[in-house]
Amino acid sequence: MTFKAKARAFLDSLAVLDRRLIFALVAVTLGVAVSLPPRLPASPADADVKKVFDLVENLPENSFILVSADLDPANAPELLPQAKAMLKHAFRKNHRVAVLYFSASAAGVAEELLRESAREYPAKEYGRDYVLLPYMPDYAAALTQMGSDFYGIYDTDSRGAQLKTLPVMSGISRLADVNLAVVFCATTLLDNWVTLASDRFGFKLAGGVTAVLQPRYGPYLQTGQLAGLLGGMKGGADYETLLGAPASGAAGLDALNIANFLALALILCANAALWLRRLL
Amino acid sequence: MILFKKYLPIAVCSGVGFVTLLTYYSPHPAAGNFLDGASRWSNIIYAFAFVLGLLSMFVRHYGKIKRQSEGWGYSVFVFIGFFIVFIPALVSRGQLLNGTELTSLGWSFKFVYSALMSTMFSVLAFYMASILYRSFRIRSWQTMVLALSAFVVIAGKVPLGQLLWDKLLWWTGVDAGQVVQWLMSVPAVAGRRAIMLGIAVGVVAASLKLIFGLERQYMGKQ
Repeated sequence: MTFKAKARAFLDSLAVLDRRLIFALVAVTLGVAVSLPPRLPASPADADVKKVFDLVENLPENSFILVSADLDPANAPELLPQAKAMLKHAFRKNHRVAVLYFSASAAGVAEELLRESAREYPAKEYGRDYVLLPYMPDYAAALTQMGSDFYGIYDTDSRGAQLKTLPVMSGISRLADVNLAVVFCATTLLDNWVTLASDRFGFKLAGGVTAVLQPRYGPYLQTGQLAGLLGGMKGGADYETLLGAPASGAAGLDALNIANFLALALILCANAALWLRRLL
Repeated sequence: MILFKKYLPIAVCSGVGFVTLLTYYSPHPAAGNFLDGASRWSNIIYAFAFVLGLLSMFVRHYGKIKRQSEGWGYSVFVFIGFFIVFIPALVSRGQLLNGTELTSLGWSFKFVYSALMSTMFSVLAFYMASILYRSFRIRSWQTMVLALSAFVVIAGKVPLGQLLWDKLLWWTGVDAGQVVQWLMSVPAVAGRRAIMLGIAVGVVAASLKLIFGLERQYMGKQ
């Protein structure tokens, strides 16, 4: 067999590489990146993340922040670091926080998010500093009603206590009373928060979405309908860096870096094999 | 009979549609009260829809098990999965936590549902890598533009990419972040805005067809 024929055979085999080999390559690469993180240097924080950080930072003490935590276990690796960092920041600045969700599968994650974020601040008390609202299936109805009467739709918290009587809700009767709302989601729910709630009732709205959804919200950011946006694991890592408390977002960024470059390397490798095969 | 089957549903749909549309532009308290009432109705209807959907799912999967049609074993797991969550939910009265302790519902959520969902999603990474290798072929200038944009965005978004960009493409005098910023705020936003406007016009047209009774699919085949 000539060199040319051997090269052709090799390139042909590259073009139809056994997928189990690719699976093994991904497993090894991610395994190493997660277990032995190379601690790559952090890049500057995204401008839209900085806007969210500055909003929380500059709110007067005891402000009320409404958080829509529509995360589920599938998107939690991207969204949970963002939400945790933002909640910790809110607790650090002594703001009041109410967490709600419109996705049934978010129940456990929202509860965990609130519990873990509050754990670092033992002085914070449920009902006085933070509260978890119960699941509502119809977000459109809930957002519409919250605009005129918060307690018309949420009469109790998730534990069955009368919401209106809790100190955390002091001075809040409708959405316009909220100082800032932040929506964490992997769906198009944030669009509905913009059109059904913030545009209509006039309050500041920011978001935290998966990296795939991030380009979707460019128009809202340019018009100011969204005050800021955290995108993907990088958004969470940026917020943690701004907060000076690197956590799961920053830790996951190394794996994300390497996984992204592995994807690019695979594309280049497959195409290089194809081009070389044409030349031979 | 045609009155109840055809005209009454259209009248209800048109009436509610018109009134809801008008309330958006009316500051009168009656408009707010109507919306509040409609919101409560909507939530109640959603709750009924859940029950209806659940019953429908049970009937369908019970039928598959009874007939032992192809894949009936999966239907058994539908019931197992349901009861793994439903029974703990009843026992713990829907609460995931009892103080700081996980209830049985919290346990099933964290160690069954959450673990399964995370596993399912993680598996995607492997399939995506395989698909990228096998299917992303740069055969035209359009795919070349797509590949280059992807490369630049990844390079600009992750620290390792910025590091490589600075080492290899320093001579261009352009920062990776600037290129990404331009890509995300000019072509991406322009495309997205066009899609949003198109969808909005489509939604307005579809809503008007419903309100004026021109769209009747919701009443069934007739």
